[in-house]
Amino acid sequence: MDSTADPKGKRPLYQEDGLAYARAAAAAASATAAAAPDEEEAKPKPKPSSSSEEAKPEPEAEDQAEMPPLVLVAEDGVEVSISRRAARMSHMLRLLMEDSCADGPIPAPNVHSDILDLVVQYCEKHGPYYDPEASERARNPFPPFPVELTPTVSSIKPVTYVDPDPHGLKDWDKDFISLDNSTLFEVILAANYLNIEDLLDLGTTTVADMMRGKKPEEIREIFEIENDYTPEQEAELRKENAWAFED
Amino acid sequence: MKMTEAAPPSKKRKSGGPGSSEPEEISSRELPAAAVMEVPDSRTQPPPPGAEGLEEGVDYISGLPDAVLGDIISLLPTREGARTQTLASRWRHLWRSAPLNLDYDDLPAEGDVLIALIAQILSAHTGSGRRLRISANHLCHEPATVDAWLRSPALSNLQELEFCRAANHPPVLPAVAASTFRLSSSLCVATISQCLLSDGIFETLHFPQLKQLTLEEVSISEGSLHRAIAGCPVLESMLLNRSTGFKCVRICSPSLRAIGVRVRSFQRPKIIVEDAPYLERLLRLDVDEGLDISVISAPNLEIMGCLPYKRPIQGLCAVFPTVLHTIKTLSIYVFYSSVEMVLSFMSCFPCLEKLYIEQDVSPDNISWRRKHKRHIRSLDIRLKTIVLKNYRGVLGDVNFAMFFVLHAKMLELLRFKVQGGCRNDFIARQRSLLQLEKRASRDARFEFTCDTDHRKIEDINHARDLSVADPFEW
Repeated sequence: MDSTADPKGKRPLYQEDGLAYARAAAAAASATAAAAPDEEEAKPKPKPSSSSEEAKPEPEAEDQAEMPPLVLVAEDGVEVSISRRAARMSHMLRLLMEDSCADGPIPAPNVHSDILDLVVQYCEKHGPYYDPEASERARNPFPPFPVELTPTVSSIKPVTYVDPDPHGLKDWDKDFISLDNSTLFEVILAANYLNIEDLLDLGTTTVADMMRGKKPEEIREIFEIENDYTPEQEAELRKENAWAFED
Repeated sequence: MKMTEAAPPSKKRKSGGPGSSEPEEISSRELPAAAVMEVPDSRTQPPPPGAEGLEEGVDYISGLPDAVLGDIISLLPTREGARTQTLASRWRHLWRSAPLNLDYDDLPAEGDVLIALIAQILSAHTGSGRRLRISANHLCHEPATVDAWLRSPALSNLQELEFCRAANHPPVLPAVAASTFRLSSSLCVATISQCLLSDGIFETLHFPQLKQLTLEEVSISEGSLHRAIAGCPVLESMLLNRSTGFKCVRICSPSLRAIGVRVRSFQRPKIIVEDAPYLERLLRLDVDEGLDISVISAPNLEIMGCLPYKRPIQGLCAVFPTVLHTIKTLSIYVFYSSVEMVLSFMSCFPCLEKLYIEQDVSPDNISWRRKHKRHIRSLDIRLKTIVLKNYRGVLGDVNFAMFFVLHAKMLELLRFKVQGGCRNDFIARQRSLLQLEKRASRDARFEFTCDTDHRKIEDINHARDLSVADPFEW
């Protein structure tokens, strides 16, 4: 409606609809882009999570969207392809693309193809809304614990509520990261290797949430950590950090 | 920081890679076997003899690299972070080398014992600093000690620094030295409370990474405040909480997106938004006190409130001559609701979509139909969401709400926040009184909730709270 300023490069405080902006830009650009291959056709296989109907390139990523997707090779030899726009979320892949070294297969030696599929799924979902310039982590790790308020609501007719997360990314992330321990940590390792900050953040925050409020014994149980301290060593440690164990 | 260090082989790692328990994902093309490179895989090591026969799970977490585990640990409260040292020997050194989150509130000590404990933790810590939260009283009573803490290598690269408000702070505000902000180059979040920020401090100080700034009960001159804002090129949220020393706050910031102001009862500063191209929210955090707001250039300003509307109608548009079309959400506080008042707001903010009205008392039951008979047909109320706070359900309230029921053609949600409880019979009676079957917007939803169901704008106390999705109900 009225957007006299261009918030390019700035991530909004809450998710705003970047689609409309991207579509408008794509419409303007499609007039000039003649025989450029469609991004959908360039992908060798369809992905259920791939937002193909949202695959309108942002102005600055136009060139990338027209180029073929990257090919990652998992440790078991399986090839997994990722669109260029989604690949931007990985700092490592972004550098490769900038140096034009991303045309051949890119090895991901410690990542199993199933995990790589998950990671690519995440990147394809978040890719359209990802802005590398605004990607500097606005860390806010210590928000106050949410107050549990149970609203008593009586409504006449349920209508879809306009929520502040219009792309539904928060809920999608929550579902995405509900993984068993083994998969969760493999995803974290893969995100670490490929340097995908957002996914790494999601993973570490999830693990921290699982640990928060629990005693060491409980944490060991959740994560199957074997306590290899002798009782004397553990007692010594507890004495050294007595303040941490006072309740 | 994100190096993949080689993880020490965990004793409990089973041989064979993961993925066997994964459901079949999308089919992937497979390369011929000859093209697969042999990559040494620590996971194919056989488990040590002692672990055979153990049917327990696998410890995946300990296989993460130190840097990633350190990140996780730095997300925990101080005590819990320290406790991770006792999980297993692999974790022994992690807390000490992870970025430190030190919150005095989380330490079970007070007074001199607390100060000694903080010093002890800092001296034993080998990693950098993530967050330090101490009391303004520490800065007031032990400035030399605090200075020593801030010089500690354990706080290098500190990202969050909070001197939080102390209830028993002495009335005379101590002046802080510039050296208190020696970590200014790395700070992303800063909270300064209950001190005097003298004029020389911000002349040379820059905060190149500061995104959130909270000034709580500080005394700072106008010039210093402007210099402070100018020295924060990426500042996104600023909260002025009962601070004094300035009559006028001129906002000129290339990056500021949200500003919140709470004043002291004897104050009435002016807020002039001179040039804030990214400002989206201008929030007054107390409903009672007056505040002069003037907006010169804020092309993205969308959310404003809470404005006390106790002036005559004519005054409103004079105050906001230029900010007409961008405001989408407005919160107002009135003595009692009135239709004229809403119409005057709609004429000043024609693109308003969401309106919060909080009233002191319920209006008298004066019919608006007679007054606006001539205009009713041409009225075009484009509001989508209306929230009526302190709704009591008396005839005056019902009459006021009915105006929107009957004329807001684009209404999606009309919420009544009822004082006290809202029982089903009350709701049923309201439904019939409001004549909802005659509603102008067929898809509109009408909800009755209790006043206490959400936090209010008055509960905002930290700069980060300014950017919650809905600052008026969160």
